[in-house]
This record gives sequence, C-alpha cells and structure tokens, in this order.
Amino acid sequence: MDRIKVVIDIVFDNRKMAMKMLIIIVTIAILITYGHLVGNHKELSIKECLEAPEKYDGTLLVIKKETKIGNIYGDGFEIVQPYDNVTIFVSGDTTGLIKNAYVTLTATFHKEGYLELYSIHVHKHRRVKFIVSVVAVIIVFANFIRWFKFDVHHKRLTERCQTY
Amino acid sequence: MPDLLTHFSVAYLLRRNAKTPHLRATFYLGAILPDIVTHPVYILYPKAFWAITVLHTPVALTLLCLLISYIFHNSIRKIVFVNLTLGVYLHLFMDLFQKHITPEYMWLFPFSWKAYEIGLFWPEASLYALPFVIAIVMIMEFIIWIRQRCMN
Repeated sequence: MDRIKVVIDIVFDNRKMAMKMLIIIVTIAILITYGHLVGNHKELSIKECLEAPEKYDGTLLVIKKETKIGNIYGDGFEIVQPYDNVTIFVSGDTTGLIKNAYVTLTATFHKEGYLELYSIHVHKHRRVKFIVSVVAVIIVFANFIRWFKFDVHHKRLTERCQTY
Repeated sequence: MPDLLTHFSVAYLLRRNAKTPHLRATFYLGAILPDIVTHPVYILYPKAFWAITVLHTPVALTLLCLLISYIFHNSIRKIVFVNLTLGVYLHLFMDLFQKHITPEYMWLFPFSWKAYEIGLFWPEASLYALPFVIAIVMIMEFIIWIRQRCMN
C-alpha cells in the first residue's frame, strides 16, 4: 500500500514534470501511430478496391468515413467520398435515402466497379447534433473558466479565489 | 455517440449536488473530452479516422487526463485527474449503449482490436431524448432554488 502511495506521489508531484509530460506525449503518439498504421492496413477502402477490382471482387466492405449520398436512382444510389475523390454506384433499396445525407453502410464490392448494398444507416440531424454539441462545449468551457484561472507565477491552472 | 449536450446533461445531473464547483467543472470537461479531441479532427480530415479513434479508448484517454492534470496546481492535481477521468469514463459508459453499422469502440486497445457495444440506440437518437433531459435539469435547478430560498 505504501509503495502504491509512493508511486502515486511520484506521478503527481512537481518533480521532473517536463520528463513525465514528454513520456505521456510520446506514449500517446505511439498509440496513435500504431492505430493509424494497423487500422488502415486492416480496413479496405473503396479506392483500394477500384485500383484492384479483380483482387477484391466479392469482398464485404464496411464504409464509415464521411460518406455522403450522391444521386439517387430507381435501382440504387451513388455514394461520394470527397476526401478520396471517390464516387461509386451502390445497388440496393433507396427507401429513406436523401441526397447529401451522411451514411455508414456495409456492401459487397463487385469487380465491375459497383457495390451491392448489405446494410445502411442514414445519420439524421447531423447539423442539429453539431450545433447542440457546440452549445455544450461553450457551456462547459464557460463554467470551467468561471472556476479556474491561469496562475502566471506558478504557470499552472488554479481555482479562482485561491492563492498558494 | 450521443450529442455533447446529452453527455453534459447526464454529467450535470450526477454531480450537481457535489459541494465543490471547481471539481464539478473538471468532471463536466471530462464528460465531453473524448469527443472534443476526436470529432473536429475526424470531420476535417477523415483519413485520420484510425489515428483519432485511438483517442476514444480508455487507455489513451486516461493518459490524456493525466497530461491535462499536469497543467493544474500540485495541490489539486490528483483530484482534478480523478474528476476528469470519472467524466471520461461516464462518457465512454454512455457510448457503450450506442449502435453502429459495426461496433466501433475498442475498449481494450492497444491490447485488443476487438470492438464491442450494447447497441440500444443509434447516435442521433439522443437528440430525441434531449428535451426530456433538459427538462429534468431545469426541474432539478428549480427544486434547488426553492430549497435555497426556504433556507434563507
């Protein structure tokens, strides 16, 4: 128990603060890099399928990243991924779909260069959600500033109306 | 994930009666922290999805809370860390009940890439519950105000 207390004191006291912060920043950077490299390797993108259609024919794709509905037709619809400059036709039910709505979907890639829809979810009220979330951020930060201030002498955040 | 106003409202309801407003402020900050460090980057740069998703995992967020606590004065650092972390874990707990096309939250990252969620509601469903949550918050504030008036 005493050892745990010593470790906690070491972690939280002011000694070697710069080194402790650096270790945490480096650890987080390593985690982010690991996630980025392995995650992108695990996940197959539409762009990669279009670059090697024979190889990925019949592969089930999970499409999540910032994907919008493009034109809607009788037998399917287009999805657009602006960040990858990709537009592709998806064969499937178009019930409930609205142009420019953000979606996540699973679909099978076909070497002819289109997708066959398996499941889809339309992210409704995205703009409202964004506005409501911004309101929350403003409230939380305003409340935070109300109770904390930056102590220039100690270069730390302190509670307002407290002196050290 | 539920919108941030829902996350904040639930955090507010849980800690409203805590006697230390400073620590409530850090708890509320923790309750919105996972989304404010991930969503803006992801929306602006979708290719960073996997990099940013890491910052929505318990291990990375705990480290981030520790890093943030270091900018507070030594006398309150530990309790700020505890409050930030509790807020973060409340956020993650609420996210656990969401559903996505495929599970998104990797609770044991970096030790496991397995994602799990209970999947009761889609992320935007929180908007439908938000008026009720806000109403509960307002009723609670009204009751507190009445009690304070009676005490005075």
